[in-house]
Amino acid sequence: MSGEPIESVVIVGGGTAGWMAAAAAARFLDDGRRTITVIESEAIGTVGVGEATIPPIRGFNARLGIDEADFLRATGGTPKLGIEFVGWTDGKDRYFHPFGTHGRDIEGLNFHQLWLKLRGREGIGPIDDYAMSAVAARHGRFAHPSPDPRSPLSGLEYAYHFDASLYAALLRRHAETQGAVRIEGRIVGVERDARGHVAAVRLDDDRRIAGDLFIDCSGFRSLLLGETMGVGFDDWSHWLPCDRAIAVPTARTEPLLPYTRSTAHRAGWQWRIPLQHRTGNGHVYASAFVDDDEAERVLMAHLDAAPSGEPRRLSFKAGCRTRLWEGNVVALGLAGGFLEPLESTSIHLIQAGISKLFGLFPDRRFTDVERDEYNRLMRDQYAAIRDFIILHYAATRRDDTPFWNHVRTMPLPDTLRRKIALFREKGRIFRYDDELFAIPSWVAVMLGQGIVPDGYDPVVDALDEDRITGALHQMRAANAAMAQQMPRVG
Amino acid sequence: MNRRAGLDRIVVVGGGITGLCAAIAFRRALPRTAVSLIAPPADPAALADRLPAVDQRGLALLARIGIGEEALVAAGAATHRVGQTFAWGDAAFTIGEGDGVAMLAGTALHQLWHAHGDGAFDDVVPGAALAKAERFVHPDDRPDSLLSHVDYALRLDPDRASSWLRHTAERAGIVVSPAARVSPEWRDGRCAALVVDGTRVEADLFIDASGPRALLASDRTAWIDWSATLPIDRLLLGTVPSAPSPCDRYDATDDGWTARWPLLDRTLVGTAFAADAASDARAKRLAPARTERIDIRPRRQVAPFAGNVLALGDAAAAVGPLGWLGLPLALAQLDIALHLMPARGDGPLLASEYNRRATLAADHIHAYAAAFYLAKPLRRGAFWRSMRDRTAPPELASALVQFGRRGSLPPIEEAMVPRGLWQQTLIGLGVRPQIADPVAGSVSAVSAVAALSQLRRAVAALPATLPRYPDYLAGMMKAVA
Repeated sequence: MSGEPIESVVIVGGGTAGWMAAAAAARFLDDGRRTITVIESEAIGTVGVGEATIPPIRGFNARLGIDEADFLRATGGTPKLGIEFVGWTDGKDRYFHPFGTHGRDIEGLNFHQLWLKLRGREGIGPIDDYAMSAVAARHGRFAHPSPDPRSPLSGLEYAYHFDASLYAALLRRHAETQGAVRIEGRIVGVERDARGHVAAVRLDDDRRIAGDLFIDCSGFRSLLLGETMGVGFDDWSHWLPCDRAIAVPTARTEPLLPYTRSTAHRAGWQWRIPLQHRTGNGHVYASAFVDDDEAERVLMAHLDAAPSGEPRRLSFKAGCRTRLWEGNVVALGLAGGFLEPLESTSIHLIQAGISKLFGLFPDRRFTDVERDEYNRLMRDQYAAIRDFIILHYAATRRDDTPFWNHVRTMPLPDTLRRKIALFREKGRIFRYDDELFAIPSWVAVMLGQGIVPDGYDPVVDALDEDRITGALHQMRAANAAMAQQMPRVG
Repeated sequence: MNRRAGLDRIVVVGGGITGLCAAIAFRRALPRTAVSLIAPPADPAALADRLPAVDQRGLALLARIGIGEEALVAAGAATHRVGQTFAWGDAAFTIGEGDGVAMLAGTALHQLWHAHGDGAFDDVVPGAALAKAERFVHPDDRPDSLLSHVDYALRLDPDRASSWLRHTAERAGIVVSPAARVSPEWRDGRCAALVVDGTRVEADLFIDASGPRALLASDRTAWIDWSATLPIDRLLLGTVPSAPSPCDRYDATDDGWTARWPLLDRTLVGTAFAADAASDARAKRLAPARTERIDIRPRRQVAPFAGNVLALGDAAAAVGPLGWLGLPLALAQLDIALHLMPARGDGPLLASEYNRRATLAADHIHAYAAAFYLAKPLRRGAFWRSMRDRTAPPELASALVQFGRRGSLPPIEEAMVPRGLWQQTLIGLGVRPQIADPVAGSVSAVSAVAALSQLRRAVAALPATLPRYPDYLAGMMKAVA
């Protein structure tokens, strides 16, 4: 087998995953010889996953040279400072998962350890008050983060809400400008070579598209990885039983809110994602616990404006392929796996798949060295995000419906069980290598869901109590004052 | 009331640098806790105490517990290491501390160099250039300055540093008492007490920093043997007079290697070999007239935090003399222990989390040290020939496979060695990627070559603008004094 470089990359399917891969490949893999081809059929709709994102998307756009103002204009995008969870703990509660950090660490101690000691005292308040993103979100304000570590804005982080189909269109323009070629057509057959690798795909007009590396962005169908290569699916629906969604747009409301809202219902939850031109809404639910018509009724009863389109129904199953790369086929997006959009991770998983693929880019020998490493890293990513999503369900105190009783009492993955136990006992967070959600995210959700540790780090007692109380008062006041100075969104 | 009540009493066993740092650290973190230190006769093979370096993570930890670099330097107890030269095969190479210039022309520097460069890789590493010219100044943080890409470690003078730390410990209220004999009383998986010269001493937490003898280990303590992957088991250690230098030097010999480790007013000289490949007499031919022979047994504890005993330094993991990696590992493990901070009544969860992280760090250091023997064994000498059919530890094997394929390293949790240092080392040892990095390949040859030669010229011009190290060090000692 030759160690020749890969000359042709064929991306099967457009949509968010396909055009993200194409734009990045056209920008970073162009050595003057390599061709990037996207096969897309206008007859096949796209799911348009993930209208909300998490902060790493900003790095992806920046590396592609996409200007933020152009991007927001082209995609109807708005800034996102975090997620407000409503009714997840006992049905009546609210908490906020902010991007960025809570307060400042003092003498190497995590901020939340200080807060845990002082939380009952006067003037300390909820931990949200220490997250600049949460305070700004509460006031409907937004400003860019500051590089100056003394500014409260240094602890702020943000991502975007945007229209995923407009984002795909923007990326398509970028990709095509950089030399990627789009082919319109529907795939009707796949040819494999002696090694079992995909050699070419055949289109409905009898055209044959050959390639060295195939990127499967065909959505839930998983045409190449699942159907052709026969890679199995690891079903996680026993931990994440939601398997349906109904989405409906509504007219934009004022004021524009710089965060996603996730409201728990009797057998699932509802998203609210504000864009410039409309608000995205959807009800994610478990069909074993509620029927489709009832789910639609619940969604329509909880909209804050009139619907501006027809409701659209989707089905899915939580889990991911046992291998994300098999032979010469790498799956991105829904073709590789699905995790419900509770923490807006779908687009990030596409982005992570792209950057790890480029970091482990093979040659035409396609040895196991790259493949195994890629599969290991991506499986770890999926599992870590899976655990973080399960936490929201498992930590509930709700016992008002069979759905919540099921998720509250189900057995958990060992990795998550240990994390919850250590936090409950010690306020400690395990953080594994390369994990996407950092300590402040786990702390926000653990505390928000009512998992409050029994004690705090004994080292906190070594610090002068008046001094740390003063420091916390000062941080809280600085965030509140800064929020007043920030402009309103929109 | 805090349910996680702090420890009342901590007893550290071991009067070397590792034990002293641990005692001071716990004392500062828990001012209401009684901390005492029992110093049995020093273990001659405690290399974390005898060949002590402090890396950047260790410096940050020491600063947090009130041990500043300036004070150590002023006491004549520390010098700076900006790089290390290895005459390890056909061509000598120098590695600079830290990550160096990581990115150039929007791509990883080492990939760009591999795709488009000529000349040696260390010519584009500013720290390596300083080491070769024996110059050093502290890094700055101006993004356009080459000195922002330089890093350093401290080498401690074992005698001066331990006596300085001992004063610091006593001033902090730590009772230091010498002891002739120390033995643990184990009961139900916990150390009930230590018997110190016939007297029983109890504590909530015992720290075993007694060196490779691991005085507090029980008969149930399990070990992982590293002798196949860290093959040096003898070190002849001597001293020659010299001026300070910021560069260590290693020369491969047929039987192992020799090293020169310069301190403030003398240079430690080491001759390292394996007893089954060379006799002491044969090894002595390369050593100064008077040397001490140190027997080394590379290994680590399976679970360095067992019950209420936390092993640190060579008692937890003995990584050998190359690179002075023992103390950086001990300080990193101390850092993890402080971060997790054991309390009274902790369940097994905390200890297992400590052991998970501490052994990841140990295995990473082990893999890095093993790279010098196993990545590309030399073609001469029985010692090196016997390395060829040895199996690399898993962390090194995967680094070699991944780096050998396309020059990238797998992400590592509890990484002990900066990624840039790994890259420099593997390149220096002669490991080259088979596949060109596609991102580096997408940079045009003209702009890549221009960027690389501009960097090489700037790196080459840097040392001449800086003072000689002895002058810089003397200035620093005077300024602090």
